[in-house]
Amino acid sequence: MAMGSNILVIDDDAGTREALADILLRAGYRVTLLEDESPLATAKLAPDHRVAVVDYHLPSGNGVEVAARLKALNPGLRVVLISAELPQDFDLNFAAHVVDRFLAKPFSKDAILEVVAQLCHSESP
Amino acid sequence: MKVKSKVGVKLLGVNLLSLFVALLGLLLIIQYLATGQILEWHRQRVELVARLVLAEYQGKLQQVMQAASLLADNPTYGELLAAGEIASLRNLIRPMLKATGLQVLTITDSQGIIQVRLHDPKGVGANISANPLVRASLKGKTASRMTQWQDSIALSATAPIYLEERLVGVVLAGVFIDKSFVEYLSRPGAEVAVFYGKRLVVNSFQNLPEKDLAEVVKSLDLGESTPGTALRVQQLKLGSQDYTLTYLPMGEEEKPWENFILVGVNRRELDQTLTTLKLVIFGVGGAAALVGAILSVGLSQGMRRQIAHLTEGTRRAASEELAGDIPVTSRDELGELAESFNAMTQALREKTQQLQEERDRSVANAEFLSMIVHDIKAPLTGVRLTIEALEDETLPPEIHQKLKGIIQRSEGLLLHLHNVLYLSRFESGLLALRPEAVPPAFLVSRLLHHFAPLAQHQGVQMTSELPPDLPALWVDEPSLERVLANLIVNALEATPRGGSITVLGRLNPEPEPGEVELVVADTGCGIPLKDQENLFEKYRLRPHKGSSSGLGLYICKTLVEANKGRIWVESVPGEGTKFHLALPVAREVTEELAQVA
Repeated sequence: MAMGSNILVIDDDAGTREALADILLRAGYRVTLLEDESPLATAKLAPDHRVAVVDYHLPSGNGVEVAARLKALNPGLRVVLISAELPQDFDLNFAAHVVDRFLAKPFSKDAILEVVAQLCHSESP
Repeated sequence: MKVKSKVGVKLLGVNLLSLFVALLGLLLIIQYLATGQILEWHRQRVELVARLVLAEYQGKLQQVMQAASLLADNPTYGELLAAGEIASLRNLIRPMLKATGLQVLTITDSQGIIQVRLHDPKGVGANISANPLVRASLKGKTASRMTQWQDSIALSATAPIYLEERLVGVVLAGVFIDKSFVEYLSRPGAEVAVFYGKRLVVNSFQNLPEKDLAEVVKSLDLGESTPGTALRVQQLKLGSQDYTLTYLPMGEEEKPWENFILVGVNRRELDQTLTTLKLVIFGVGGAAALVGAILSVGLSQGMRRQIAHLTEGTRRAASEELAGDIPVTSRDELGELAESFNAMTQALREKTQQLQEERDRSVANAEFLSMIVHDIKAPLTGVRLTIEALEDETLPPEIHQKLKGIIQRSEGLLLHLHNVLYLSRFESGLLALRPEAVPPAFLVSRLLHHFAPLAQHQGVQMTSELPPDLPALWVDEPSLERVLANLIVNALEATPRGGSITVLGRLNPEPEPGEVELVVADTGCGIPLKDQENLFEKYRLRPHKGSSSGLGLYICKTLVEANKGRIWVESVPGEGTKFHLALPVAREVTEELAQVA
């Protein structure tokens, strides 16, 4: 069920968020857009989210913390971390248990579609 | 602070050692000089005793000879003797015995028969012409000799009596000298022997057999040929004793070793004196050394403390912070050194603080720049994705082409942004290089893939011709990626439509342990020779490339050199440019190569 999977996008940049929605919808996915992670505290996460695309720099926390929370709520969820600049001392291996893939901003349309397609087809851990 | 200085201890050791060596040398010299002086005094004493004995002997003998000559020269005695008036002669001479102090007075006739004998009348009439003295005088000469007579020494002299040129008799005069006069003259420890006619007459040497003295005489016979040398003071072993000996001849220069005085001083007495001297010298020396050592320890204590402070201060300056000043405890060069040290650490503290402030500013700048780059890159993602989404819309082909151009120019914008960011991080010390084994083929193909749309857009063919067996490099991967990205973008800018860009590679065995040379070659416009010299300098202006900041190649050089590599250019204007990178081979690879070899 690759096509039609529900993709969660959390990014505070409206341009990126809307362009991603446009591209993913056009590719046949369903998309949930969030400006930051605050709705996660109250709103119940739709159980059918397959992949989450999370920006590292969020207004009230970093993407890895959000990824950890998402994984706790839905262990089957796959997480793509996206960022323009990771901190100098950031170690991706350290976050490997909550982040499945990383894409450096700016990435191309083809890059994000390829990563999302791969994660939708892979088995849940 | 506890005084603990190894240098101080060594210094003290050197001090004490030199003190002891100097003192020992001084003592040995003093001892040598003092011993020499004592031996010299000793020899002078021996010689003095010998001369005193000689003077005494010569005085007495002179007295006897004068008495004999005086009596013989009296014409009355000759007349009485010739006339045979012996009784008158005896009466006339009798008072002379006392007056002259003689103990023996004999007068013979011209045949050597005793006519008058004052000290012992019994011998009158006896013929003593055989007596060597009498015999000599019968021939008209005067003579004298020394003989042993019971416990005494007899000094006798004869003189001929003439009457009108005719020899009429002989006067024989003599005195007895108690042997103790010799002993009286000799000081304690000095022994005297008198030889007369090579016969031992007096011997005051204690416990010394005569045969040993005879040996001495024998040795003197040897010295007869060179009498001058024999007169010296000598060291001789007589019996079981060591003696300092000297010889003095008694008259008769043609036969100096017939009659002589031998004086000896036992060395045992001298040795005692020398031992005492040594004890005194070394006792005083030892006491001086002790005082010197105590003073040395006391004086070096201050130096050791200062050295310990300096050592501790230097150690703290090296390992910890440039915390504080060290105490200045001495007023000498070490104290000055400590003051200089304090001045130096203070200057260093100020410089370090300035550097830290500068570093902080630089870090703040880099962080600020990083923030700006983030703020540019984040919306750029939206812009790019939006443009790409637009490509799916049905648009006229020329609009599609323009949209692609916008995307590709954003790649150039990103490259410059990353260059600025890398440089500011590198210069502020924030860029941490993490070298690892990087297979070059994989990295190159990823970059070519990344820039393929741009190359395609510009009509440039881009290929990799790396040998499949090229070993891994030991580099920081992001650094190498940045360098290659810059070189590829530069090549794309320089190469006109229809040209080509090729990435080549080869393994250089030299220098050890081997390096990989990567070449980015283009068929572009090339670089004029005058521009090649300062191609890698910062903010180099490139008049024909108005859009470039000139940072790209400077960053390439900086990053390559930070990864222990080299970069150089080879270019023919109009034909193309080749940028060469030489980077070290990964260690495990060199080990494998070594194993294969």
